[in-house]
Amino acid sequence: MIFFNNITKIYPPYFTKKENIVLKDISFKVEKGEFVSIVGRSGAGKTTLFNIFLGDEKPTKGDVFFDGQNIHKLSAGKACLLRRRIGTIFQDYKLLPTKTVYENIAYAMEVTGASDKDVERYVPEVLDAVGLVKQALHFPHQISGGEKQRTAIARALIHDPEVILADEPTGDLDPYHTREVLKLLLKLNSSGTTVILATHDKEIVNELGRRVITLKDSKIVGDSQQGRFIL
Amino acid sequence: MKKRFINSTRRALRLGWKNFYRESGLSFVAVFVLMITISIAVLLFLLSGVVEIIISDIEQKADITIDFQTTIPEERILELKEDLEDNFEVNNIEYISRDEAMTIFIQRFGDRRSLMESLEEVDNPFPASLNISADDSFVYREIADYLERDHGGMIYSIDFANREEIIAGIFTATENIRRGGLIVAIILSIVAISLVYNTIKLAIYGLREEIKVMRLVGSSNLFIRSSFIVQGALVGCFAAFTSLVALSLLGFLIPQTYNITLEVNLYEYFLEMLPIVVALQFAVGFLMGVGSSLVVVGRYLK
Repeated sequence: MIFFNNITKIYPPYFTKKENIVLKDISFKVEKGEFVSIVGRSGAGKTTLFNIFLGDEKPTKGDVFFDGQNIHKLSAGKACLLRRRIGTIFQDYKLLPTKTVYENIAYAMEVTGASDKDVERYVPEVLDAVGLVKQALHFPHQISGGEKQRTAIARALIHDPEVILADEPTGDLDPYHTREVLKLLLKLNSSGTTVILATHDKEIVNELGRRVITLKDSKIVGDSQQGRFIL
Repeated sequence: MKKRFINSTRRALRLGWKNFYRESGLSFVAVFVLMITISIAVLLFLLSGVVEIIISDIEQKADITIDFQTTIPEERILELKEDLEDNFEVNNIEYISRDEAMTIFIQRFGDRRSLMESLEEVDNPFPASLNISADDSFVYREIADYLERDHGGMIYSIDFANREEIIAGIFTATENIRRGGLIVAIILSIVAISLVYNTIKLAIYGLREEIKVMRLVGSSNLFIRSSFIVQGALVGCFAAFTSLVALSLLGFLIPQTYNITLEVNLYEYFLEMLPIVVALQFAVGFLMGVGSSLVVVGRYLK
């Protein structure tokens, strides 16, 4: 389903004379319905890998394929159709600041052309699932970090995507909500959604007991089916 | 397909309107800057009309008069009048007969007894004349040369020689005013357009992260553009409306404080041009608001 083929990402030097190699010769496949954790310390390149998959950044070398389509060779129109098949939980939430919690979530449905009736039906359901009913009409600057993270999760789930990219989705959550989010991701995975989780949380990875890809020094140093956090 | 189009249009209108009023500070600045631009455009349009009327008025006052020998019969003068109308680019030729000339004199100086008494002593001393007005000063020179060359025997005097410099001066001055006006209009238009473009650029620069997020959650470029088009159109329409109110107030105040002579009433002129002014304001506002949004958003969607 998803194939990262020899991905290398090098940022040109800005303040130092040395270029910054973030990813080097990264290759792996993710099959449909898999639950994969990508682990590594902060700055290991997990977010860059997601950005490359979303087409937000271009790799210096290599290609990424989604259902056989080279993501970086798609037209703008096809790229947006592809992104609608992915639900992304961004590490920095990336909520739209001038929209309420409700509108942020509804926006991800509206761009797909969903009817107002469906929007009005599903958004309250997802708000309820992530415990944000009371905050529905609040703007992002009026809610806490944890609530922002849950809004980002709700937005990623609302349009029933085939793949969920979760970049440190529990970073700002308390233990109770962390457990709830993990349960939610596992539930979605059990119903066939592919989940790729980027995290540096040892406990989460060990508890999941699923496939783990470990990044270190810009390279993959481990890829095991029932892996554990080894860094 | 139709339902989907209606749905998308309704969403674009809703999102554009929400962005407009939620980012009220930004909208206020954009409306204000665009209002100034629209007002400049409309004022330039109105001023060019007023200046054109004044210039035409001045130019019409620059005429020449040909006095004929008193022995020349009226028919020959009228023939010459037709000849001049056919062969030269004149605006108007007015024939004043000897009797009319005397009537005019009496009307003007009837209260001067000594003059009237002198007039009674002689037969009508006034010559018949042609009063010619044209758009260009060189036409006067051509007519004067033609008359002196081909009809010298009929002519008593042509007042062109002693007024030539004044007439040429008037035409040069009016031409300079036209040219200067055009240059000022071009400079002001460039300043106004760059002001609007840069304001909207700054506004949308702040939204570039938002545009990026919209793309990442799967929004098409058209869907993103459409809400910004609506926002730009709203800025344009509000700016046009405020500009209309401001100029109406200005138009109302001007005739009470300042009246231009030369047969131009500014307020009446403004009212006469009002339909065009309103159309111009909304057209400029809409096009600049939408155009700037499209150009700037387009940069972030590449």
